[in-house]
Amino acid sequence: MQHKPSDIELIGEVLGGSQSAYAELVRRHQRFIFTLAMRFTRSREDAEEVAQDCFIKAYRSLHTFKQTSKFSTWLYSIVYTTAMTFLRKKRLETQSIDDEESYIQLENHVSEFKADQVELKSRSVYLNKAIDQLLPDDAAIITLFYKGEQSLEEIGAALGMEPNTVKVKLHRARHRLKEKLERLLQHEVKELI
Amino acid sequence: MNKIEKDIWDYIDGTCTPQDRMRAERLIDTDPAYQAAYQEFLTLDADLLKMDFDEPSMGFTRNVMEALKAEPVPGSLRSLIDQRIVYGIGAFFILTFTVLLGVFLYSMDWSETSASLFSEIKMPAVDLESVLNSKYITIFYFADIVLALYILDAFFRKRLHSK
Repeated sequence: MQHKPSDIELIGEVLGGSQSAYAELVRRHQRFIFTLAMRFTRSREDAEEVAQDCFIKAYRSLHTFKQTSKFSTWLYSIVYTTAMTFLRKKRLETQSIDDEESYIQLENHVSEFKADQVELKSRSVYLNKAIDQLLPDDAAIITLFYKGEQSLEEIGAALGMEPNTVKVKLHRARHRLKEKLERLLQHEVKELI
Repeated sequence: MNKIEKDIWDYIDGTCTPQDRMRAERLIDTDPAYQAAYQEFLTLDADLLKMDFDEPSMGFTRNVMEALKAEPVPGSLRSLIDQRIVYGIGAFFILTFTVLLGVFLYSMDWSETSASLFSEIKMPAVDLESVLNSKYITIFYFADIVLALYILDAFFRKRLHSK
């Protein structure tokens, strides 16, 4: 069986002058980085630009990677700063709370998901829609926790926060996600009726 | 976010203390509000874990590597030299040359005719014997060898990358 080199081994090869090892690192992490970039930019074109920029910056400063955290954690801190700079440059306004409030409001607020009444579309579609409606920070923290396989400590290290602060932020992000999901599902139920 | 939500998420994430864990388990078993929230959050948690990544374009890796083709190896001397320093040194020499030229032109007597103008210019006598002694020649050779080694290193690195 062929040995699959770890991220650290690949980084060693890159620092030794092998660009093909870096191509392997890019292939390995591109989906995670692109997904995170999408959470911030909400546009495929912009996310592609941010993700590419992130990998280029990571290559240039690869020798500064201390290897005390995961490579993906280190990449995330680069995505975050790259996306913020990109958004500042583009003066792209994130969806304000007011905009969120203007989203369809229904008279009767139900507190449970009506997944059984919505059989035509899968829950994952609604979940992705709900995540798209979250503020970028909330969407990113959920993605990091669930898809980046990052612990609260690792996320905290990447964001420069205490693990407890990350925990609170994650709780709040999931709470808002749950509200968005409920609204989306209610809207769907109303359409079906 | 209320206390039930916080307790349940801590329980699902496994971030609570053993005592809180036992307390949460007891409440989930006995309290209908806790029970309903637990089922609801468990479903959401499972959905989030199943969530798919977004896919970048097919040529994503190729585009990144194309942009990095001309980049020096990270951490190498070339990558650490700030381009601004190089430009700064260049600007210093250009400025020095411009100032010397300016002083030279300013000190000339422009009232003379062009024919006699250059005949009046007297170049300073340079004692080459004192400049080209063995010490300066050794320094010159040393700089040449360093430069040659640097170029050779760059050449071999390029060959290694192209393989």
